[in-house]
Amino acid sequence: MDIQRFEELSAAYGADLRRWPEAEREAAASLIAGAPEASATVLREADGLDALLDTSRPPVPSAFLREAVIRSARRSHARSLADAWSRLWLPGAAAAACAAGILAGAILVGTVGAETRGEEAIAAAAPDEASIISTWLEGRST
Amino acid sequence: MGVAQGDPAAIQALVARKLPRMLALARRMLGDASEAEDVAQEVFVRVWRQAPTWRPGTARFDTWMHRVALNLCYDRLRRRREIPTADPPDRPDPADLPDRGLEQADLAVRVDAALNRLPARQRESIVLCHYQELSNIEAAALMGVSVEALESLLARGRRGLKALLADLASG
Repeated sequence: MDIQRFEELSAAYGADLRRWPEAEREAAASLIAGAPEASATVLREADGLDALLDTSRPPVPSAFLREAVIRSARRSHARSLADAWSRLWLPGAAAAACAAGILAGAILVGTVGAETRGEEAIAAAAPDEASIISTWLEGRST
Repeated sequence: MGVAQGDPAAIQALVARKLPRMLALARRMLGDASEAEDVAQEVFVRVWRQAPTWRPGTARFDTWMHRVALNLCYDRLRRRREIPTADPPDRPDPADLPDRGLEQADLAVRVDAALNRLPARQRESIVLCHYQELSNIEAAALMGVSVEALESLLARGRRGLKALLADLASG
């Protein structure tokens, strides 16, 4: 690695070598060992911005948000069970709707608004998401 | 996977591990706390829907969640452009903010404001690589660009931030 590439990497990834491309870290470390002053000058400049970026702390999720997310898992699981049950025991669209209604209705209370909003968001998600999922998830059965 | 079976402990563990990460990603991409919460929630709705089909070890789940969250963020950023609001999100001009004797919290406000002034793609590259600590390969794949293009976005983004925060960076 020459000093120009070292500067490019520093300008892109900052001063912390752990953020640099894995394949170039060893060469960067060698350059630092071989040219400590030149490399330190480059890294010092990047480190100033890194330090500023690190003053921004990530938000902490509120208990309300955490609970809402966990509730959405329970609702989704209940609905999956209802769907599975209806497929097993009551074939046909009307029967499926009936089974889903009975089970889901018994478990899901007061959640219609939030769920609808979630479904809208899903519908709006990227079109290539289905292919990503199917590629990544081997052995998908349904 | 416990989540797929609706195991409460598994669900809580996943939420504890991933909710802060998704919230941080959305907060920095959107610059708006309320919208970020909506996005984080929507990501998890998607997660629960996919839970029955998950197979452990076949996917880098964290990257998939990032993809979902970024898509939702860009939906909202597009909507903002289409429907300009009278009351934009908390995105002050960093130059208008105090620049002397700053406390840590004030500094953070200025940095967040500067980040939100960057073009979305430059912001995304910095958020993914610096804050979310994804590898360059993961970040480039998420953004649908080459590693070289990612480096260019990162370098331009960092130059832009330096210019916006020049008084702080030099001091």
